[in-house]
Amino acid sequence: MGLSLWLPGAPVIAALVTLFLPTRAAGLSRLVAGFGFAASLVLAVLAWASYPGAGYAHMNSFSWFTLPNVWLGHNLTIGLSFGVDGLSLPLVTLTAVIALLAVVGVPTPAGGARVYHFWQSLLVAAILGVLTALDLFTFLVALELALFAGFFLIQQFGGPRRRHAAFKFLLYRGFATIGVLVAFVGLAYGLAGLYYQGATVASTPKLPSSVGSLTFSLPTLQQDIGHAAAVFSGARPALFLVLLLAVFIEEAFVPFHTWLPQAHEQADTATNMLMGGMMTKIGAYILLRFGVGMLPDQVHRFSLLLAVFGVINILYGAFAAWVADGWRRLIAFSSISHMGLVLLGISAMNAAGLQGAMFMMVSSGLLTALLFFVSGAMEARTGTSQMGQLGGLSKPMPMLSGFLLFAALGSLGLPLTSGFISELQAFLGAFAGHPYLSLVGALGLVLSATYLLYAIQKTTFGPAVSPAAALTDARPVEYLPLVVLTALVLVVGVYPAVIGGLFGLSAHTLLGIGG
Amino acid sequence: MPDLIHQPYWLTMGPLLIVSVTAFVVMILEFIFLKGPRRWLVWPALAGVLAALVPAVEHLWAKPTAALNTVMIDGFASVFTLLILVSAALILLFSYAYSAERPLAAEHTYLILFGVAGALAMASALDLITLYIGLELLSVASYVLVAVRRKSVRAVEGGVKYLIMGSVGSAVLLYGMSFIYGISGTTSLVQLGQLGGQLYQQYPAIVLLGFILMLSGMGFKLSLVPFHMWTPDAYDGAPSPISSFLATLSKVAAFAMLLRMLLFIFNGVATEVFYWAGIFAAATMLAGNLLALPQRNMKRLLAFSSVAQAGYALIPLALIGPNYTDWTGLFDSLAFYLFAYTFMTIGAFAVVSVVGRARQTSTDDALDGLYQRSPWLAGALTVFLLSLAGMPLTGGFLGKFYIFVETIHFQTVWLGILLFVASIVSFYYYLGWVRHMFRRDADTAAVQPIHAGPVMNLVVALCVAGTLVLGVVPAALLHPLQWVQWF
Repeated sequence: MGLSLWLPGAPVIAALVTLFLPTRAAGLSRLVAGFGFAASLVLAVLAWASYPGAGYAHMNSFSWFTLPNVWLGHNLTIGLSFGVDGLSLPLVTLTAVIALLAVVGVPTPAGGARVYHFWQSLLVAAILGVLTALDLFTFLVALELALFAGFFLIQQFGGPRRRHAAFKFLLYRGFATIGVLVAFVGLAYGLAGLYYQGATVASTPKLPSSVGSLTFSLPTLQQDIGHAAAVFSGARPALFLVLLLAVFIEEAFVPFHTWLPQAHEQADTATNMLMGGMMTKIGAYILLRFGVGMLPDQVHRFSLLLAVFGVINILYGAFAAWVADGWRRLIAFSSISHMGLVLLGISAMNAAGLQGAMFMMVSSGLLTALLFFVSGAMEARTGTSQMGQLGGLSKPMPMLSGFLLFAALGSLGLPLTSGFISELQAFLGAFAGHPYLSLVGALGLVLSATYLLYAIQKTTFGPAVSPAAALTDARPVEYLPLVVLTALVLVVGVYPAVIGGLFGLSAHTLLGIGG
Repeated sequence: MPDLIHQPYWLTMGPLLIVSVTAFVVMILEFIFLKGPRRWLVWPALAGVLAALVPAVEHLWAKPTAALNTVMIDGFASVFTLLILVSAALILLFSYAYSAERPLAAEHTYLILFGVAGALAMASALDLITLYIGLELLSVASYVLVAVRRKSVRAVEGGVKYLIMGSVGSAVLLYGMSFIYGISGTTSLVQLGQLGGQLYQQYPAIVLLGFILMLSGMGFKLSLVPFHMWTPDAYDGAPSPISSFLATLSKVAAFAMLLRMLLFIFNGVATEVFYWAGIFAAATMLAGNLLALPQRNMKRLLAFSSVAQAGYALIPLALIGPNYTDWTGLFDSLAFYLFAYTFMTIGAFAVVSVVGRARQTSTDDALDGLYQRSPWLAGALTVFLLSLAGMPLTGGFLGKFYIFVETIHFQTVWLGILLFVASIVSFYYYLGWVRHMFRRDADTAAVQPIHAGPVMNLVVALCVAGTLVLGVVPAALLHPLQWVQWF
């Protein structure tokens, strides 16, 4: 009945197939990976087209195994469950698009195409798994798989300091995974009633029958939490703060940010597109799905904290991007700045803010992927991404320079691009929640214009530093990612309703739970 | 004349008897065929172990029965018997494959069997004396197994260290037992169990002392921190199959004995004493992983890794006591973890022994470019390491997850968090190996492929299968465990 299983399932199959390909057939494994991503994309579009408009759809649920005796003699049945809703559909589609474009447009790095595409497929499958998981265990498995797959991609196919970057990536995100794990299992047990045994029975509101049995199923938990808002009140702030810490590390928020620029500096272009495009949005997704969706009272409670950290990250990201000496670092910090705005939008806990945050995730995903693609293509030709060693690239490669300029303009929020509508919405929401902080945060807009245009100027204009003769412009196959990503940025910017409907609905659903 | 054959206790002691008899038979065969190669002795030994599996599986869901008040067949004994026999079979195969290139002393086959017999006694005995005899049988066999290569300095050093530390451990254990015997006047676990909390009420300090001494004594065998110092030397000095014997079979048996002993003696005062084990678990997890970080020698690293893993497996024991009285989930999680641990550890030792032999070095440089030399071995070792590190879809992850869930269940979350924090430290060295394996050698032409023999490949394949099955279809083990009547 459901097709959600095959969203992550298709790339998993692709990954398994690559294992059995002959070692020499480098092109073949790329083709297989591409087919896997294309299948996911087609399924995502199908799922979107037939989405009924509310709630989880296209669900697949299997019971995977049972842990005996884990709560007062009860067993815990762990499911393998997938499904999509208004929040995940656009993100799933975006992931599939970026993955497909990355595998089509970026040549496979040297050193084992089979291994590379195996881990790449697994990474994409893991991200899709995170976005579609409807069972906490499924979610955790996908999150850990993404961690290991990302580690191997950086560690084996990255730049000269890849080892350091890869282990940093692994340790930071590993700790984030623990936080998610603790929060999830705690949430499940909290709802099962472990932590309110001491509470007086009379004060406990009437609970549906599912409360009182331990479950990891997301839809069930969400139902229960609506009824059980008053229970296990003591553990809730602790759980939320643990979750929040995990989100901060996942999102590379200051002061846990150092892994991201290093990872981006060392990873290859395709991995950068996936990592910057989607992997760094997982944290925000967790915050929306489990923070806003399941502990809304705690988001209200810590709203100021979220807003302050949001603003800090907007500004810190912008300043750090300003002083960055290379494109990779700049894009990494600009993405941190974007995600700071997401945090600020969420902190407002109103429809506009949440919707703006969701928009920003998509927009930042598209633009970060585009920026990494263009700067990666330039780096492949010039051999460097350091702005000091670049210059005058608009002459030998006018098309690439043009797209770079477009991506930068989108990123700084030019009207008619996705960046504009996202920033507008997020700030609209944020101003209603935290007006003064938002005012400070809005400074980030000015800063982003400065650092992006400054970097563009250094790279594409001015005297040519490298010998121009050897440099070629975009190859035909590279136009596909350029044009598709640009088109998507424009579509979202000009006609935001294309995703706005779903996101608006999700925002209201999330808020409805929060009351 | 009374019927000597049809007595129930023969059946109850089935696996133990079969293995012991096989051990003597193999020993006699070894004496008879004194001249010529004696590698084939592994096959009768293996046949005995496999034959012992039959009654072990039969007992799995049987009602608990005691034989002669000294040996008990309950779910607990059956599960551990099963695990001990499975690992014994793997280790015997491993040693057979190993001895193809590096001759092992011919005595090792029956010494392993005597060790297995001791281990089985530790899993099923119901009396402190019997338990101790089982432990000594296993320990003495292990000391000899480590040191039997007399001409190797490292083997002798490892053996002597192991002997000294092991003897100290036994002494400490006996000392603890003597306190309990002194205040209760019995060595029978059944009678001690019936006393419940009485002893504690009368002699709280003595009972606590007994508990800590017994835990510490077993801590030497389990190489818990701070009693772990012999571990790297013994593992490094011993031949790889014997190292894996120490790391898996011997530890599993020690866990079984520790759990049964402590549960029967101290169940009435669980709340007061068992959290002490949590302190050992925390220290062991952290120290084991931190000590492994700078280690370059492969077998020493696996030794520290096994120290850390023992710390993880000790967590369920530490959870006994507070809050709930239904502890079956804890036994399930411990058994699951030990199964996963056995497969991944034996597998890792097997691959390391092949690679170390082929590259003539024991440091992790031997792993450089393993993927090019043998994609199969590199892939298998990656599976073992990822499982030891705790990647999803492997048995190691699920085992840790299960233990973690139990820590939340028993409201001792700090141990669960520490479990994962320690695993993240371990990522560094486990994945460091993976990095070595997939490193590209500059000179591709000079790469010598590595081939393991068919039996070694079988061992590795069985371990890969075990590790993955436990991760992907854990119900294969969880479901049977669910129906086990533990005590």
